[in-house]
Amino acid sequence: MATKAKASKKAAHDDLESMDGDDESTRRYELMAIIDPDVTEAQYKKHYEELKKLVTQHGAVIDFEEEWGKRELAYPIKKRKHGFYVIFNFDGDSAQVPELEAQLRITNFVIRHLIIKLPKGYAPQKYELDAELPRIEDRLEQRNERRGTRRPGNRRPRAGSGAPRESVKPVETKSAEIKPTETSKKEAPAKVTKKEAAPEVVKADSEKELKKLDKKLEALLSSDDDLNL
Amino acid sequence: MAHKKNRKEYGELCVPETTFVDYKNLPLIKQYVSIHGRIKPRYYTKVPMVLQKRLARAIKQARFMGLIPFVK
Repeated sequence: MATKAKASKKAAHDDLESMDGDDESTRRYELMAIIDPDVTEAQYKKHYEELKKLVTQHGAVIDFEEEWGKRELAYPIKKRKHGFYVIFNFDGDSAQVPELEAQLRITNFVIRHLIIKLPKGYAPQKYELDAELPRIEDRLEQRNERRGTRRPGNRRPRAGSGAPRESVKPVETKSAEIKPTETSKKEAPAKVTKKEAAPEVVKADSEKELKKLDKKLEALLSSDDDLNL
Repeated sequence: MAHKKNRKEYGELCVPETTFVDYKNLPLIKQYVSIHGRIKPRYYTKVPMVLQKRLARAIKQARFMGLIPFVK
């Protein structure tokens, strides 16, 4: 275990060095920008090309580009609730990136942008962005499958605790259903007369209320008409 | 050693062949954010320290780009 942890720490350290301490002036970057959504498609394409030009003007070689299209933002940015997401991966000159960033800040159609350094060996990935999270039970099952070599005694109680809950719930609901029926059987003969009497009163009340409401509605409608005139 | 047993596997968080957590990997990132949008602390996630830091960075980047909310 210890050796593994050490190895992973070493790997992480190497990676950090590659991210921060490289002497070379060129480095891989990723630019993500959100383009103003209040434009037509033709305008959007224009903006996209302009953005691409801007990146290439600053001594960058784009090797990957991706458009996510119009997406809903998690919170409004500059009073916009949507945005066109655009991603560029490029080899850039580290001296020119701040300038590019400054230019991006000025451009009107970019409502937000982010430039990050990419580590060595990064390959563009595709993610299912709006995929729903798997349920916790499914995740537990997956984990158990992955750790199939583990001794069965260790994890059983935890994995089993999910299943009994499921079995318990229906029982509870059943008992809840059954109980009222039993009580109703017992109390039914005594309460019948009361129950019959009560609904009639309620019905009468409800009818009165309905009539009142109808009158009110009519009055309102007529007044609306007057207002419209 | 118990705490080490409880740790998650290293590789599934990162982009292949790196130790870099991608802020675009929303299905992954959402697992490490509470229902109120806060970053889950390390005693829940059981992730190595290095990765917890990368994860936090990825979450903050995703928040900045409007991919996940700051507060729900």
